[in-house]
Amino acid sequence: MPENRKPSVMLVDDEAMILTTIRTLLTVEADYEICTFTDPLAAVKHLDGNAVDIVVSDYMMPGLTGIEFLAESKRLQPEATRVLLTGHADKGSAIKAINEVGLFQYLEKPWDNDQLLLVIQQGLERSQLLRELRERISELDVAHSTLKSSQARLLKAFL
Amino acid sequence: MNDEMTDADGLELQRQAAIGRLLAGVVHEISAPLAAVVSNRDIESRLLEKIEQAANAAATGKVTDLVAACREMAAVDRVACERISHLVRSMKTAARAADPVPQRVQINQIVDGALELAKTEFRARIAVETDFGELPEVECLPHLMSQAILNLVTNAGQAIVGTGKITAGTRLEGDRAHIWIADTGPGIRPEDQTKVLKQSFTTKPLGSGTGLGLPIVNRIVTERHGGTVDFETAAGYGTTFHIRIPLQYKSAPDAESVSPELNEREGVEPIA
Repeated sequence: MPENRKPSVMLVDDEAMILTTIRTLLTVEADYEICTFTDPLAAVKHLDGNAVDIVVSDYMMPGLTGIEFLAESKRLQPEATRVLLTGHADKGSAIKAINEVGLFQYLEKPWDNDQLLLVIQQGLERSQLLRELRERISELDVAHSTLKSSQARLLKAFL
Repeated sequence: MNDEMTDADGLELQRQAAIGRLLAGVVHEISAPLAAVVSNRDIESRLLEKIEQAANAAATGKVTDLVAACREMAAVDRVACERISHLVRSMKTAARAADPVPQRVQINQIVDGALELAKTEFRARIAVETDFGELPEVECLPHLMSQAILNLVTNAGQAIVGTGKITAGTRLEGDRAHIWIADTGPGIRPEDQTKVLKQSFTTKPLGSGTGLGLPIVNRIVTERHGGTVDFETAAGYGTTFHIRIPLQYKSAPDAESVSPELNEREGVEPIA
Protein backbone atom coordinates (compact mmCIF):
# COMPACT_ATOMS: atom_id res chain seq x y z
CA MET A 1 0.00 0.00 0.00
CA PRO A 2 1.29 3.49 -0.75
CA GLU A 3 2.94 5.22 2.20
CA ASN A 4 0.49 8.14 2.22
CA ARG A 5 -2.63 5.94 2.43
CA LYS A 6 -4.12 4.70 5.70
CA PRO A 7 -4.54 0.91 5.89
CA SER A 8 -8.03 0.07 4.63
CA VAL A 9 -10.29 -2.33 6.55
CA MET A 10 -13.58 -3.73 5.21
CA LEU A 11 -16.12 -5.16 7.69
CA VAL A 12 -19.07 -7.24 6.42
CA ASP A 13 -21.82 -8.53 8.73
CA ASP A 14 -25.60 -8.57 8.31
CA GLU A 15 -25.84 -7.43 11.94
CA ALA A 16 -25.32 -3.65 12.08
CA MET A 17 -24.55 -3.90 15.81
CA ILE A 18 -21.47 -6.01 15.07
CA LEU A 19 -20.24 -3.47 12.53
CA THR A 20 -20.72 -0.61 15.01
CA THR A 21 -18.82 -2.32 17.81
CA ILE A 22 -15.83 -3.32 15.63
CA ARG A 23 -15.72 0.06 13.91
CA THR A 24 -15.62 1.77 17.31
CA LEU A 25 -12.92 -0.59 18.57
CA LEU A 26 -10.74 0.15 15.53
CA THR A 27 -11.38 3.89 15.79
CA VAL A 28 -10.39 3.93 19.47
CA GLU A 29 -7.37 1.64 19.21
CA ALA A 30 -5.97 2.17 15.70
CA ASP A 31 -5.91 4.54 12.74
CA TYR A 32 -7.49 2.77 9.76
CA GLU A 33 -9.75 3.69 6.88
CA ILE A 34 -12.88 1.65 7.65
CA CYS A 35 -15.79 0.71 5.41
CA THR A 36 -18.72 -1.42 6.63
CA PHE A 37 -21.43 -3.37 4.80
CA THR A 38 -24.51 -5.27 5.98
CA ASP A 39 -25.05 -6.56 2.44
CA PRO A 40 -22.28 -8.80 1.06
CA LEU A 41 -23.33 -8.05 -2.54
CA ALA A 42 -22.84 -4.31 -1.96
CA ALA A 43 -19.44 -5.14 -0.45
CA VAL A 44 -18.50 -7.08 -3.61
CA LYS A 45 -19.40 -4.01 -5.70
CA HIS A 46 -17.19 -1.85 -3.49
CA LEU A 47 -14.25 -4.27 -3.85
CA ASP A 48 -14.50 -3.93 -7.61
CA GLY A 49 -12.62 -0.65 -7.92
CA ASN A 50 -11.66 0.30 -4.34
CA ALA A 51 -8.45 -1.04 -2.83
CA VAL A 52 -8.93 -2.80 0.50
CA ASP A 53 -6.14 -4.30 2.62
CA ILE A 54 -8.14 -6.62 4.88
CA VAL A 55 -11.66 -8.03 4.72
CA VAL A 56 -13.36 -9.27 7.90
CA SER A 57 -16.58 -11.15 7.13
CA ASP A 58 -19.43 -12.89 8.95
CA TYR A 59 -20.35 -16.44 7.90
CA MET A 60 -24.16 -16.62 7.81
CA MET A 61 -25.52 -13.74 5.72
CA PRO A 62 -28.44 -13.34 3.34
CA GLY A 63 -27.37 -13.13 -0.30
CA LEU A 64 -23.95 -14.72 0.01
CA THR A 65 -22.37 -16.87 2.71
CA GLY A 66 -19.12 -15.58 4.20
CA ILE A 67 -17.23 -18.21 2.21
CA GLU A 68 -18.86 -17.22 -1.09
CA PHE A 69 -18.23 -13.57 -0.31
CA LEU A 70 -14.58 -14.14 0.62
CA ALA A 71 -14.10 -16.20 -2.57
CA GLU A 72 -15.37 -13.18 -4.55
CA SER A 73 -13.06 -10.86 -2.60
CA LYS A 74 -10.13 -13.19 -3.35
CA ARG A 75 -10.97 -13.03 -7.06
CA LEU A 76 -11.24 -9.21 -7.06
CA GLN A 77 -8.40 -8.39 -4.66
CA PRO A 78 -6.14 -11.41 -4.16
CA GLU A 79 -3.67 -9.51 -1.98
CA ALA A 80 -6.25 -8.38 0.58
CA THR A 81 -6.14 -10.51 3.73
CA ARG A 82 -9.32 -12.50 4.45
CA VAL A 83 -10.69 -13.13 7.96
CA LEU A 84 -13.86 -15.02 8.90
CA LEU A 85 -15.70 -13.92 12.06
CA THR A 86 -18.52 -16.32 12.77
CA GLY A 87 -21.19 -17.13 15.33
CA HIS A 88 -22.14 -20.22 13.34
CA ALA A 89 -22.52 -23.29 15.51
CA ASP A 90 -21.22 -25.64 12.81
CA LYS A 91 -17.51 -25.01 13.19
CA GLY A 92 -16.58 -28.04 11.09
CA SER A 93 -18.01 -26.78 7.82
CA ALA A 94 -16.49 -23.35 8.32
CA ILE A 95 -13.05 -24.80 8.97
CA LYS A 96 -13.38 -27.08 5.93
CA ALA A 97 -14.00 -23.99 3.80
CA ILE A 98 -10.84 -22.25 5.00
CA ASN A 99 -8.70 -23.74 2.23
CA GLU A 100 -11.19 -22.74 -0.46
CA VAL A 101 -10.71 -19.01 0.09
CA GLY A 102 -7.15 -18.87 1.45
CA LEU A 103 -8.35 -17.68 4.84
CA PHE A 104 -5.81 -15.86 7.04
CA GLN A 105 -7.70 -16.32 10.31
CA TYR A 106 -10.91 -17.79 11.67
CA LEU A 107 -12.45 -16.07 14.72
CA GLU A 108 -15.56 -16.96 16.68
CA LYS A 109 -18.24 -14.72 18.17
CA PRO A 110 -18.00 -13.53 20.85
CA TRP A 111 -14.41 -12.61 20.08
CA ASP A 112 -11.66 -11.14 22.25
CA ASN A 113 -10.97 -7.52 21.26
CA ASP A 114 -7.20 -7.78 21.80
CA GLN A 115 -7.07 -10.86 19.59
CA LEU A 116 -9.18 -9.19 16.90
CA LEU A 117 -6.92 -6.12 16.93
CA LEU A 118 -3.84 -8.33 16.65
CA VAL A 119 -5.29 -10.39 13.79
CA ILE A 120 -6.23 -7.25 11.87
CA GLN A 121 -2.80 -5.69 12.45
CA GLN A 122 -0.99 -8.86 11.33
CA GLY A 123 -3.33 -9.23 8.36
CA LEU A 124 -2.59 -5.67 7.26
CA GLU A 125 1.18 -6.31 7.53
CA ARG A 126 0.73 -9.45 5.44
CA SER A 127 -1.16 -7.70 2.65
CA GLN A 128 1.38 -4.87 2.68
CA LEU A 129 4.20 -7.41 2.25
CA LEU A 130 2.31 -9.09 -0.59
CA ARG A 131 1.77 -5.77 -2.36
CA GLU A 132 5.44 -4.83 -1.90
CA LEU A 133 6.42 -8.23 -3.26
CA ARG A 134 4.25 -7.65 -6.31
CA GLU A 135 5.79 -4.21 -6.83
CA ARG A 136 9.31 -5.66 -6.61
CA ILE A 137 8.37 -8.40 -9.08
CA SER A 138 6.98 -5.88 -11.54
CA GLU A 139 10.11 -3.74 -11.08
CA LEU A 140 12.16 -6.86 -11.87
CA ASP A 141 9.98 -7.43 -14.93
CA VAL A 142 10.60 -3.89 -16.12
CA ALA A 143 14.34 -4.22 -15.51
CA HIS A 144 14.33 -7.55 -17.30
CA SER A 145 12.59 -6.21 -20.41
CA THR A 146 14.85 -3.11 -20.44
CA LEU A 147 17.83 -5.43 -20.28
CA LYS A 148 16.43 -7.53 -23.12
CA SER A 149 15.85 -4.56 -25.39
CA SER A 150 19.35 -3.20 -24.63
CA GLN A 151 20.71 -6.62 -25.43
CA ALA A 152 18.79 -6.65 -28.72
CA ARG A 153 20.13 -3.17 -29.57
CA LEU A 154 23.66 -4.29 -28.73
CA LEU A 155 23.34 -7.33 -30.93
CA LYS A 156 21.99 -5.16 -33.79
CA ALA A 157 24.90 -2.74 -33.40
CA PHE A 158 27.50 -5.47 -33.60
CA LEU A 159 25.98 -7.73 -36.23
CA MET B 1 -51.21 -52.82 22.54
CA ASN B 2 -50.80 -49.60 24.45
CA ASP B 3 -51.85 -46.75 22.17
CA GLU B 4 -51.37 -44.14 24.87
CA MET B 5 -47.73 -45.03 25.41
CA THR B 6 -47.03 -45.02 21.69
CA ASP B 7 -48.67 -41.64 21.32
CA ALA B 8 -46.79 -40.14 24.27
CA ASP B 9 -43.47 -41.59 23.10
CA GLY B 10 -43.97 -40.26 19.60
CA LEU B 11 -44.79 -36.79 20.87
CA GLU B 12 -41.80 -36.81 23.19
CA LEU B 13 -39.42 -37.90 20.44
CA GLN B 14 -40.77 -35.25 18.14
CA ARG B 15 -40.39 -32.63 20.89
CA GLN B 16 -36.78 -33.56 21.50
CA ALA B 17 -35.90 -33.49 17.80
CA ALA B 18 -37.56 -30.08 17.42
CA ILE B 19 -35.79 -28.75 20.53
CA GLY B 20 -32.40 -29.88 19.21
CA ARG B 21 -32.98 -28.17 15.87
CA LEU B 22 -34.20 -25.00 17.50
CA LEU B 23 -31.32 -24.89 19.93
CA ALA B 24 -28.84 -24.63 17.04
CA GLY B 25 -30.81 -21.70 15.67
CA VAL B 26 -31.09 -20.06 19.08
CA VAL B 27 -27.33 -20.34 19.62
CA HIS B 28 -26.76 -18.58 16.32
CA GLU B 29 -29.38 -15.94 17.03
CA ILE B 30 -27.99 -15.09 20.46
CA SER B 31 -24.37 -14.99 19.31
CA ALA B 32 -24.50 -11.64 17.50
CA PRO B 33 -26.12 -9.52 20.24
CA LEU B 34 -24.03 -11.31 22.85
CA ALA B 35 -20.80 -10.76 20.91
CA ALA B 36 -21.69 -7.07 20.55
CA VAL B 37 -22.30 -6.65 24.28
CA VAL B 38 -19.17 -8.59 25.25
CA SER B 39 -17.03 -6.49 22.92
CA ASN B 40 -18.71 -3.23 23.94
CA ARG B 41 -18.11 -3.81 27.64
CA ASP B 42 -14.41 -4.08 26.84
CA ILE B 43 -14.43 -1.04 24.53
CA GLU B 44 -16.24 0.98 27.19
CA SER B 45 -13.53 0.34 29.75
CA ARG B 46 -10.88 1.24 27.16
CA LEU B 47 -12.79 4.45 26.40
CA LEU B 48 -13.17 5.37 30.05
CA GLU B 49 -9.45 4.96 30.54
CA LYS B 50 -8.78 7.27 27.62
CA ILE B 51 -11.38 9.74 28.84
CA GLU B 52 -9.63 9.82 32.17
CA GLN B 53 -6.27 10.47 30.49
CA ALA B 54 -7.77 13.11 28.22
CA ALA B 55 -9.56 14.81 31.09
CA ASN B 56 -6.30 14.90 33.03
CA ALA B 57 -4.62 16.56 30.07
CA ALA B 58 -7.63 18.93 29.84
CA ALA B 59 -8.18 18.25 26.14
CA THR B 60 -11.89 19.08 25.99
CA GLY B 61 -12.53 18.34 22.29
CA LYS B 62 -11.08 14.86 22.67
CA VAL B 63 -13.25 14.20 25.75
CA THR B 64 -16.39 15.10 23.78
CA ASP B 65 -15.48 12.61 21.03
CA LEU B 66 -14.79 9.83 23.51
CA VAL B 67 -18.04 10.43 25.37
CA ALA B 68 -19.94 10.29 22.06
CA ALA B 69 -18.31 6.93 21.30
CA CYS B 70 -19.35 5.68 24.76
CA ARG B 71 -22.94 6.76 24.12
CA GLU B 72 -23.00 4.89 20.80
CA MET B 73 -21.79 1.73 22.51
CA ALA B 74 -24.45 2.08 25.19
CA ALA B 75 -27.13 2.40 22.49
CA VAL B 76 -25.95 -0.80 20.79
CA ASP B 77 -25.86 -2.58 24.15
CA ARG B 78 -29.45 -1.59 24.80
CA VAL B 79 -30.66 -2.98 21.42
CA ALA B 80 -28.57 -6.12 21.88
CA CYS B 81 -29.97 -6.74 25.36
CA GLU B 82 -33.53 -6.18 24.12
CA ARG B 83 -32.95 -8.80 21.44
CA ILE B 84 -31.63 -11.35 23.93
CA SER B 85 -34.50 -10.61 26.35
CA HIS B 86 -37.09 -10.99 23.59
CA LEU B 87 -35.66 -14.34 22.57
CA VAL B 88 -35.52 -15.55 26.16
CA ARG B 89 -39.19 -14.52 26.60
CA SER B 90 -40.16 -16.56 23.53
CA MET B 91 -38.25 -19.53 24.86
CA LYS B 92 -40.06 -19.21 28.18
CA THR B 93 -43.45 -19.34 26.47
CA ALA B 94 -42.38 -22.53 24.73
CA ALA B 95 -40.93 -23.96 27.93
CA ARG B 96 -43.94 -23.09 30.13
CA ALA B 97 -45.02 -25.97 28.11
CA ALA B 98 -44.76 -28.92 30.35
CA ASP B 99 -47.95 -28.14 32.27
CA PRO B 100 -50.55 -30.66 31.04
CA VAL B 101 -53.68 -28.83 32.28
CA PRO B 102 -55.91 -26.73 30.06
CA GLN B 103 -55.19 -23.01 30.42
CA ARG B 104 -56.78 -19.87 29.05
CA VAL B 105 -54.20 -18.32 26.76
CA GLN B 106 -53.74 -15.74 24.04
CA ILE B 107 -53.42 -17.84 20.88
CA ASN B 108 -51.78 -14.90 19.08
CA GLN B 109 -48.95 -14.99 21.62
CA ILE B 110 -48.48 -18.72 21.08
CA VAL B 111 -48.34 -18.24 17.30
CA ASP B 112 -45.93 -15.33 17.72
CA GLY B 113 -43.70 -17.37 20.04
CA ALA B 114 -43.60 -20.26 17.54
CA LEU B 115 -42.72 -17.87 14.71
CA GLU B 116 -40.01 -16.26 16.80
CA LEU B 117 -38.42 -19.64 17.53
CA ALA B 118 -38.73 -20.88 13.96
CA LYS B 119 -37.23 -17.62 12.65
CA THR B 120 -33.94 -18.55 14.28
CA GLU B 121 -33.81 -21.52 11.90
CA PHE B 122 -34.80 -19.72 8.69
CA ARG B 123 -33.92 -16.12 9.45
CA ALA B 124 -31.82 -15.28 6.44
CA ARG B 125 -33.96 -16.80 3.69
CA ILE B 126 -37.56 -16.52 4.82
CA ALA B 127 -39.65 -13.44 5.56
CA VAL B 128 -42.39 -13.79 8.18
CA GLU B 129 -45.66 -11.85 8.15
CA THR B 130 -48.51 -11.94 10.62
CA ASP B 131 -52.18 -11.15 10.23
CA PHE B 132 -53.56 -11.50 13.75
CA GLY B 133 -57.25 -10.97 14.40
CA GLU B 134 -58.87 -10.08 17.73
CA LEU B 135 -59.31 -13.28 19.71
CA PRO B 136 -60.65 -13.90 23.20
CA GLU B 137 -58.59 -16.13 25.48
CA VAL B 138 -58.74 -19.70 24.25
CA GLU B 139 -58.81 -22.62 26.65
CA CYS B 140 -56.38 -25.26 25.44
CA LEU B 141 -53.29 -27.30 26.29
CA PRO B 142 -50.74 -24.56 25.52
CA HIS B 143 -47.69 -26.81 25.23
CA LEU B 144 -49.40 -29.03 22.67
CA MET B 145 -50.86 -26.11 20.70
CA SER B 146 -47.39 -24.49 20.69
CA GLN B 147 -45.96 -27.68 19.32
CA ALA B 148 -48.65 -28.06 16.66
CA ILE B 149 -48.13 -24.50 15.44
CA LEU B 150 -44.36 -24.79 15.62
CA ASN B 151 -44.55 -27.99 13.54
CA LEU B 152 -46.60 -26.20 10.89
CA VAL B 153 -44.24 -23.21 10.82
CA THR B 154 -41.14 -25.45 10.69
CA ASN B 155 -42.76 -27.50 7.94
CA ALA B 156 -43.61 -24.35 6.01
CA GLY B 157 -40.02 -23.16 6.29
CA GLN B 158 -38.65 -26.50 5.12
CA ALA B 159 -41.10 -26.57 2.21
CA ILE B 160 -39.78 -23.28 0.86
CA VAL B 161 -36.85 -23.81 -1.47
CA GLY B 162 -34.47 -20.85 -1.39
CA THR B 163 -36.17 -17.63 -0.33
CA GLY B 164 -39.87 -17.15 0.40
CA LYS B 165 -42.45 -16.02 2.88
CA ILE B 166 -44.46 -17.52 5.72
CA THR B 167 -47.70 -15.79 6.69
CA ALA B 168 -49.42 -16.67 9.96
CA GLY B 169 -52.86 -15.40 10.87
CA THR B 170 -55.73 -15.82 13.30
CA ARG B 171 -59.46 -15.06 13.25
CA LEU B 172 -62.45 -15.61 15.49
CA GLU B 173 -65.01 -17.81 13.75
CA GLY B 174 -68.10 -18.07 15.97
CA ASP B 175 -67.16 -20.28 18.92
CA ARG B 176 -63.89 -21.35 17.30
CA ALA B 177 -60.42 -19.92 16.86
CA HIS B 178 -59.02 -20.20 13.34
CA ILE B 179 -55.23 -20.24 12.92
CA TRP B 180 -53.55 -20.48 9.54
CA ILE B 181 -49.97 -20.84 8.38
CA ALA B 182 -49.26 -20.17 4.71
CA ASP B 183 -46.01 -20.76 2.82
CA THR B 184 -44.78 -19.83 -0.65
CA GLY B 185 -43.31 -23.31 -1.21
CA PRO B 186 -43.91 -25.56 -4.19
CA GLY B 187 -47.25 -26.91 -2.89
CA ILE B 188 -48.16 -30.50 -2.09
CA ARG B 189 -48.25 -32.90 -5.05
CA PRO B 190 -51.75 -34.24 -5.79
CA GLU B 191 -50.66 -37.82 -5.17
CA ASP B 192 -49.33 -36.85 -1.72
CA GLN B 193 -52.29 -34.77 -0.58
CA THR B 194 -54.21 -37.65 1.01
CA LYS B 195 -51.10 -38.90 2.80
CA VAL B 196 -49.51 -35.84 4.43
CA LEU B 197 -51.54 -36.00 7.63
CA LYS B 198 -50.94 -39.74 8.00
CA GLN B 199 -48.27 -41.26 10.20
CA SER B 200 -44.68 -41.32 8.96
CA PHE B 201 -45.21 -39.98 5.46
CA THR B 202 -42.39 -37.73 4.27
CA THR B 203 -41.02 -36.43 0.98
CA LYS B 204 -37.99 -34.96 2.69
CA PRO B 205 -34.57 -36.51 2.07
CA LEU B 206 -33.48 -39.12 4.59
CA GLY B 207 -32.34 -37.46 7.80
CA SER B 208 -34.07 -34.11 7.34
CA GLY B 209 -37.61 -35.07 8.29
CA THR B 210 -39.19 -37.64 10.57
CA GLY B 211 -42.52 -37.74 8.77
CA LEU B 212 -44.10 -37.19 12.19
CA GLY B 213 -44.71 -33.43 12.01
CA LEU B 214 -48.11 -33.18 10.33
CA PRO B 215 -49.66 -36.35 11.83
CA ILE B 216 -48.76 -34.97 15.25
CA VAL B 217 -50.41 -31.64 14.39
CA ASN B 218 -53.47 -33.60 13.30
CA ARG B 219 -53.60 -35.64 16.49
CA ILE B 220 -53.03 -32.68 18.80
CA VAL B 221 -55.77 -30.66 17.14
CA THR B 222 -58.41 -33.32 16.45
CA GLU B 223 -57.92 -35.79 19.30
CA ARG B 224 -56.77 -33.48 22.09
CA HIS B 225 -58.76 -30.36 21.28
CA GLY B 226 -61.75 -31.55 19.24
CA GLY B 227 -60.69 -29.29 16.38
CA THR B 228 -59.99 -29.70 12.68
CA VAL B 229 -56.92 -29.50 10.43
CA ASP B 230 -57.14 -28.97 6.71
CA PHE B 231 -55.13 -27.38 3.96
CA GLU B 232 -55.26 -25.69 0.60
CA THR B 233 -52.42 -26.19 -1.82
CA ALA B 234 -51.61 -25.09 -5.35
CA ALA B 235 -48.61 -26.33 -7.30
CA GLY B 236 -46.07 -23.54 -7.57
CA TYR B 237 -47.94 -21.14 -5.25
CA GLY B 238 -47.67 -22.74 -1.83
CA THR B 239 -49.73 -24.33 0.88
CA THR B 240 -51.93 -22.97 3.65
CA PHE B 241 -52.73 -25.08 6.70
CA HIS B 242 -55.82 -24.25 8.77
CA ILE B 243 -56.33 -25.19 12.41
CA ARG B 244 -59.73 -24.60 14.00
CA ILE B 245 -60.27 -25.28 17.70
CA PRO B 246 -63.16 -24.55 20.07
CA LEU B 247 -62.69 -21.56 22.41
CA GLN B 248 -63.73 -23.79 25.31
CA TYR B 249 -61.61 -26.82 25.99
CA LYS B 250 -63.51 -30.09 25.80
CA SER B 251 -61.85 -32.77 27.92
CA ALA B 252 -59.75 -35.05 25.78
CA PRO B 253 -61.21 -38.43 24.91
CA ASP B 254 -59.79 -41.35 26.91
CA ALA B 255 -57.00 -43.26 25.29
CA GLU B 256 -59.31 -46.25 24.99
CA SER B 257 -61.99 -44.30 23.19
CA VAL B 258 -59.53 -43.05 20.54
CA SER B 259 -60.31 -45.27 17.63
CA PRO B 260 -57.30 -47.34 16.59
CA GLU B 261 -58.10 -46.70 12.94
CA LEU B 262 -57.39 -43.01 13.59
CA ASN B 263 -53.79 -43.80 12.76
CA GLU B 264 -54.84 -45.11 9.41
CA ARG B 265 -57.45 -42.64 8.38
CA GLU B 266 -57.06 -40.56 5.29
CA GLY B 267 -56.03 -36.92 5.52
CA VAL B 268 -58.74 -34.36 5.00
CA GLU B 269 -59.59 -33.42 1.46
CA PRO B 270 -57.89 -30.32 0.17
CA ILE B 271 -60.12 -27.30 -0.14
CA ALA B 272 -58.60 -26.10 -3.40
